Amino acid sequence: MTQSEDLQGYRDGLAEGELRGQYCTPCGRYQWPPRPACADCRSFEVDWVRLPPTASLYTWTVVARTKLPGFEDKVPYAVGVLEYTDARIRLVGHLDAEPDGLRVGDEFAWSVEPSPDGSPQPRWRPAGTGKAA
Amino acid sequence: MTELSRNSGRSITRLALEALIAAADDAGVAPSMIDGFVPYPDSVTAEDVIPVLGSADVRFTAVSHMGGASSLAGLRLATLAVESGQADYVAVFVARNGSSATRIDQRVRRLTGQAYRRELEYPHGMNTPAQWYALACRRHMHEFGTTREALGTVALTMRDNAQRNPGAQMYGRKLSMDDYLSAPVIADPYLKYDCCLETDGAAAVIIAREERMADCRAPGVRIEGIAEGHPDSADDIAGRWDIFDTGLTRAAPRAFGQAGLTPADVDLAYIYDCFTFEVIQQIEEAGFCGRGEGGDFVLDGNIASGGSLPVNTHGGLLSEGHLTGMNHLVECVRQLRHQAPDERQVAGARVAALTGWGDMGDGALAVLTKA
Repeated sequence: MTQSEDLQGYRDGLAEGELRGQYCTPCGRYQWPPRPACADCRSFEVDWVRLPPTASLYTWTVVARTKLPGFEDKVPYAVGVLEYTDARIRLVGHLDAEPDGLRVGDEFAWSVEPSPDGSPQPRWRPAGTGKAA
Repeated sequence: MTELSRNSGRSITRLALEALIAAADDAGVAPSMIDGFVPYPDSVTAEDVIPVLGSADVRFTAVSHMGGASSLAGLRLATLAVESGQADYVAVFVARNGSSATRIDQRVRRLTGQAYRRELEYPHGMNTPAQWYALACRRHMHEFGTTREALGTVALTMRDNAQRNPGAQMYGRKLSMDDYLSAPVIADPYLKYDCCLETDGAAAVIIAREERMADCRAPGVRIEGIAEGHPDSADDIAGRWDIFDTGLTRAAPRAFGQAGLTPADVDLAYIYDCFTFEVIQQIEEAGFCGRGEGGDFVLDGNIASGGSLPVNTHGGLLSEGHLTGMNHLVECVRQLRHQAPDERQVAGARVAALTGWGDMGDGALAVLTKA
């Protein structure tokens, strides 16, 4: 199982206001979720790179009830899976968007902002609405 | 199996012992003769039950960590143990106070990939299986046109089956499509009745080599084929490029191959129905219909009582109770022994398939036949 230590590059990126993913330079291959080594060549020398500003919506759910601290009073809200098609990776992301208007293929842009617990976290808004990184 | 309830009023160790002793009595095997144990993960252990059962010399214990697929994966471990002579009588069991004590939001904190959950999901507001699997369900609706009515048909079919099972938690509580559609949203597309029950209770089965059946009181059931499978990115659903290619996709052909049977030979099925869509997806991936055809398959009435493939005759996790699919196995054995109550016995039941689904898409499939 991937451990918390293996996500340090991701945390470092968020602390600097960037959404970063893993990239294996010899393979020319993006990797998500992060792992201790490249799942293609097994190299432990995997880089952390800033991800492109926008990705497209692959699927989503609208959470209508939750006991998750910080989110109880935010329901209903949408959590999506964002796809970087060329990089062949998909990430889970909190969508700041009207849940009823979502469609597969919609473009979303990330920005890094303080989350309910104060930590910097990515938030996704419909692309072209400003406030993106 | 014990009774299924919202509050057992008893410890899980006691529940486990009740189920194990009942299984031994049913088989006509003295509890002390059980020399192998395969407990469900993160609950009562072999060491917890050995003293009371009086086991003189336990030779085999093992635990499979595959979430809800652990019941069938555990059944496979037990099968391997008796086939190889490592033990004579192996008990596979689960006991949980899943309603009154350890509910789902606590149980999932023991599953695989916790670093991902904590850092890549919780901060975005996601932390339950209903939410994970809703992602796959929504995508299936997009790609294949699967409808909410298809999901509702699964829920109503399970509820209808429970009306023929006085032991079901939802016995006497009928459900209409209007009730289904007007229920509160949990994690869209999942509404309240798309989600399985929370249950207190325990179940156990005993596995032995066929020649030992002569010592047993009850008619046996043969395990013809059994296999487990793990998907790509087994610890993460969102990152799986083909989101529908799951462990079951790989396990099913292995199990049917061992059995020398095909999905077309199956008389009745027990599908791990943690949520309605997972029934549709597993029917497809097990090979009962093609990928994308599962919605129409259930809308056409195939999974209903009297259909071409009756599914979860007891009511399943959705309407009988949630004992991690061990209750599916118990009902399957009753059916193949032709010992189910008349009102729900599938006439001439000879071949049954069971599926397990767990974690982020681990899977298992077993093919059982009437002895």
